[in-house]
Amino acid sequence: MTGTGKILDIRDLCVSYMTYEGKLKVVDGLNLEVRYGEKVGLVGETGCGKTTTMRAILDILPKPAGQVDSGEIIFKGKDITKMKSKEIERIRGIDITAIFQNPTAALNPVFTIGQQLFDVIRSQEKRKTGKRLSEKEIQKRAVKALTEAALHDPERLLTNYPVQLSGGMKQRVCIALAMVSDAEMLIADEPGTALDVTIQDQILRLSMFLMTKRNTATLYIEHSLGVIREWMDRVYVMYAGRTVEVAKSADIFRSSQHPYTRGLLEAVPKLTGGGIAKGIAGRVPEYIRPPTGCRFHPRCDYRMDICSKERPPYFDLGNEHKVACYHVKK
Amino acid sequence: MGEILRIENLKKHFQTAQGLVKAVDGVNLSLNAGETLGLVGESGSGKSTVAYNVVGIYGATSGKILFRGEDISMGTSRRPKSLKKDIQIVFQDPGTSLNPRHYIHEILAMPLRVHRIVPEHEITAKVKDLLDQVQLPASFIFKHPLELGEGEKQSVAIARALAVNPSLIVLDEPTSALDVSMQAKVINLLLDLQKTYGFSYLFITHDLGVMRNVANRIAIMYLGKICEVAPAAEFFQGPLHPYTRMLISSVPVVSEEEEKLRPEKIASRGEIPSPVNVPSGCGFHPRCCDATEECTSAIPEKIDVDQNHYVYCHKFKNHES
Repeated sequence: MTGTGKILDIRDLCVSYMTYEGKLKVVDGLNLEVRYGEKVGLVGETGCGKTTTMRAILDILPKPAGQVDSGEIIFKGKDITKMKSKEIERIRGIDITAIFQNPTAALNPVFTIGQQLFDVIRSQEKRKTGKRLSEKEIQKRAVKALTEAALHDPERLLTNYPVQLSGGMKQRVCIALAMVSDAEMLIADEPGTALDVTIQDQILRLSMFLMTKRNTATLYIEHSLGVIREWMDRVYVMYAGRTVEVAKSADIFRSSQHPYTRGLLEAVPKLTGGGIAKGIAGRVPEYIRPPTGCRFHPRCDYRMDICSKERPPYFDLGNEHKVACYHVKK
Repeated sequence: MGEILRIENLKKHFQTAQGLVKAVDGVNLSLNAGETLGLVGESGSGKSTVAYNVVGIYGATSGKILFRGEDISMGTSRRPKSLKKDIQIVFQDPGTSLNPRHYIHEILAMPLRVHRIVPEHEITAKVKDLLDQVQLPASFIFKHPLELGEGEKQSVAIARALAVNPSLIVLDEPTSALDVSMQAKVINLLLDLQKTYGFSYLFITHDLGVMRNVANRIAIMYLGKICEVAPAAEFFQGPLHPYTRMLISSVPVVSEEEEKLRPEKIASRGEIPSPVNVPSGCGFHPRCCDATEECTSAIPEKIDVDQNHYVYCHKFKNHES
């Protein structure tokens, strides 16, 4: 069941980092929405601002260097960018949770899985209801969470340290950590990238099964296009801080319009063989002096005069397919 | 085309505090001149150990590695210098395989000096030529690796391997740290170089999509042993070993044509066990959906399905080739 209301609505978000060299406008006019219970993918190359977007939503930008300059992040009707840190604390980890890319870095190596899981459960309950849970209840919930994440022998696992687990098991523990709060929204930042295909497949199936069962809205950040195709309802393609194309995931693979999206799709090595396309020329721009107009124009084969002057607006192609490109309009 | 590399019953065991790790346990492979052999497996399957043995970073515990008929199973320290030159490697992460404190010039000049490829006064010209061959501008010679993008760094690592005119290049997951777009560029570069110089590649990766487009033949490894070897096209059309089928069905694909290629969805299950405690019989049996009693006790023998296609699995014992 996918509702029509928006759980997350990002409008014209701009995020920048201050560095010695100057201000890096990493996210510049990002628009993105996630509806209740919907699974949305966000794709783009490394350095496109995907993770920065995630951090802005959770208010975990490295401060003071990173800051939201303008725009709104509206979560359930309230603007996160204008909240005080106390208010955000009541949302982060409770209403929105996250799974990170590298499970080894996400877990603290000097505490057991149990200690980490208990802490999360205890603190969440306190923030949610103000109550203190009994140790027995915490233990019960922790075991339940690990069981749900398809981990065997959860009681023994609670006494293990992260180094004793394999990468796949660690990522399952991270999923369990993200799940204990019954959040309405999950942000996953490339949870399968650090893992083998078979394990990635297991992790994806597990997290998607749990998401669907609980009707959790998901924002899935990923650079593997195949993963998006198989699991997501809608996809945003992001380039240099902006979303350049959005469509239902079936459409983006059948009839992608933006030259960047096409380039990305062509570059994926296919199981059917037939060689590999040349890839998109150039690389993601430096953010000190990003290209004017459409940020993709220096790498684009179809660029026109207008592309370097004006930022393309979104052209609606119907069926929720929008693309920001003058070439497509023509 | 003749055979350039032959690996016979290669074993590499490591003594660790937890016990004996049989990282590579009886691998047989061969590589023809000018051919690309893909070696695929999950992390922990021993594919990098095979690569390091070929390059000579380790010496083998037992077994033979024949390079043009000459046994090179000892480590590099005991190999003749000319042989070292003939086999080069490109590592997975260019961020750590290039010295961050050296200019690109020094990185590329080092192998030229060590192997006396060109006289001293021609080194800079040769370095520029190498950069040109990997499609990088000559101005890069006075840059540090940090100033380069990931794809560019990997191109420098490839140039370094090229520098000494090798005949066999071992590519240890050369693109797994890169984005699809960069990956496409690096792979095209590798294929172009192969066409020009006739290199043989031992290409290690866990990305089956890359493998399909790069390799002539593919070998699948699991827990230090080979499971299946087949020509690339045949490999994807008729995978036999249950592990191969599980791998292919786990790959997320981007088109409907690809989806048709995938075997019926086999839910992947379990994880690769610790190599200290290898399961008895066929190492894959705890994860295999077709495992029988025999699989738990007997190690499967090589079964020829076709001239170039063989599989190590009890299921195909009665197969008539």
